[in-house]
Amino acid sequence: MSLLELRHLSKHFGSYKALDNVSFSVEPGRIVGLIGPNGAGKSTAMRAMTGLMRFDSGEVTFDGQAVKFSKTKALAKMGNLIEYPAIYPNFTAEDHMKYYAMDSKDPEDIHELMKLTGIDGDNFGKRKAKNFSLGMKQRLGIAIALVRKPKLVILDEPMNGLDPQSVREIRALIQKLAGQGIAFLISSHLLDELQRLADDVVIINKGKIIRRATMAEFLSEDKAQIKVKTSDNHAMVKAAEAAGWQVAMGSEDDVLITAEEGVNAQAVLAKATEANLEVQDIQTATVNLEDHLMEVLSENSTRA
Amino acid sequence: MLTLLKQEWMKAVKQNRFYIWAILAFVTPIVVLTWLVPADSQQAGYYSLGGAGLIVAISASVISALTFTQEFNYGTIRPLLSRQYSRLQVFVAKIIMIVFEYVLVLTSAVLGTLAGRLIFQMTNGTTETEIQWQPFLFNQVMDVIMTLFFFAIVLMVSNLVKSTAAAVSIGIVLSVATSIIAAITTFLVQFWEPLRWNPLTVEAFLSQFNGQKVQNEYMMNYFGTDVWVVWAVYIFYLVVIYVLTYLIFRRRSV
Repeated sequence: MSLLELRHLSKHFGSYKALDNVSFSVEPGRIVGLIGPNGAGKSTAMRAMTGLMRFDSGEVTFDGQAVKFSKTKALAKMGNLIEYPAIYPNFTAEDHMKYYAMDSKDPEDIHELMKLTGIDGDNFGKRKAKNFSLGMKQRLGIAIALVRKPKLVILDEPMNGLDPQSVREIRALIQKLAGQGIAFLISSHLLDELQRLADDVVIINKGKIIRRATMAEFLSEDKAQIKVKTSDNHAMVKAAEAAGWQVAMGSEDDVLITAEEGVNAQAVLAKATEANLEVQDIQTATVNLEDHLMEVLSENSTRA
Repeated sequence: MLTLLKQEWMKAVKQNRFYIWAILAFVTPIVVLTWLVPADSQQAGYYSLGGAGLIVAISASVISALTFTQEFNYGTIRPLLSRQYSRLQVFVAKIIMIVFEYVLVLTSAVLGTLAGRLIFQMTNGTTETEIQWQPFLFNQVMDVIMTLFFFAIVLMVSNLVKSTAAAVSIGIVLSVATSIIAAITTFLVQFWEPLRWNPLTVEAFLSQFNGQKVQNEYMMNYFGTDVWVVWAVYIFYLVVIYVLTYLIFRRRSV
């Protein structure tokens, strides 16, 4: 049984359709990336699944219970950080941990969690949260989301404001907790980071889910490209077309050739030499989430 | 509910810092009664809590306004509501804590008044410093009951506009200007009779209530009915405003 399930969820703001028949699920121990452009409906969906917003139709269930606007006992086992960390300016980091831990009969060990999320050092100590940097607030927000020993953690832009070292530490922490069976639903514009972290992707655009897949499946839909710059790029395009390859002029004064069976950097070099072209640069671009996402979104817009 | 109350208490101490109001309410009457109020005005000074009455009234507005608006301003309203508790539980816990904080500030003002009186007696003798305990304590209980009305209005405004400044302003204006507004509405009653039952006039009359015959007759003459009916109407207004405030809070998507 899925830990979190959204079935045919719809929400209008006046005539604007913020969510349109949205369905997807999150399984225990999985890290799910919820991706989409600004205004796609990510935060609206997150607010609906945390009981913060009424929806027009559909159903959200978490841990076997329907999530309602008024009261949902199961929410005791859901941690979240939506849009920005919810911080009381005059509380210290420890005050926050104590405050949010009260909600649970069996909370995490506060000091252990503070250590894990890196909010136990001299920088934090007795300082009030109003004096924290954005990165410190973000770490605190993540610690707050974890303090009730949740089964599911919803994180909206968790890496916001974090330095590379912190990003690495938070990524390791999320992976470790997912290994212990905690599910994560993460929305982020840092797609490289999400590519490293997420097991599954759910792509939302204009309030509709346009793709659900595992990260591996999603990335395998895209093919690597060979970028080549020659003394005459137009001649290179003609030679590649003659060989029956998929080819296009690139935006950086180069030629883009889709890698397929038998079409690799070596074959492209050979073809250029055969056409008496001087190769100035050649590189194989690896598949990345950002490029493929752009492609999927652009296909979706064209169809719409 | 106990967890919610503990959390509200933690916020009251660290965020609203109501104890600052309690300290002010304690110190003011000591200063005023010891150094500023002459012997022949001492007794009157006790009834106004040595000038701390105004501090208590302002603190009531500030504390009740901050309770909700701070949650909206800090963005903590989301984790507050995305928990296992119902919105009604959250709402009731907040109201209980507001009243509790108010009673603590009021108690602090009463203790300050008694301390000021004691210091005055030690330095000036005991002449004209008697307190008639029954009306004095009755006065404080009436204060608490009447303040429930201001809380209701301030809470409604703070939930409607989510602005601390607006809610505090309304609270202060109501607590210091109710009698003025009531006087204006009393004048308007001659044009439209039912206006005499407006909430501000009812509150203004009841705030003068002392249980004595003369006062009772004055109220009965004005409203043309028994005093208990006026009380019932006041309670009805209170219930309506609190229910409306809760409905506003309950419907709010955050």
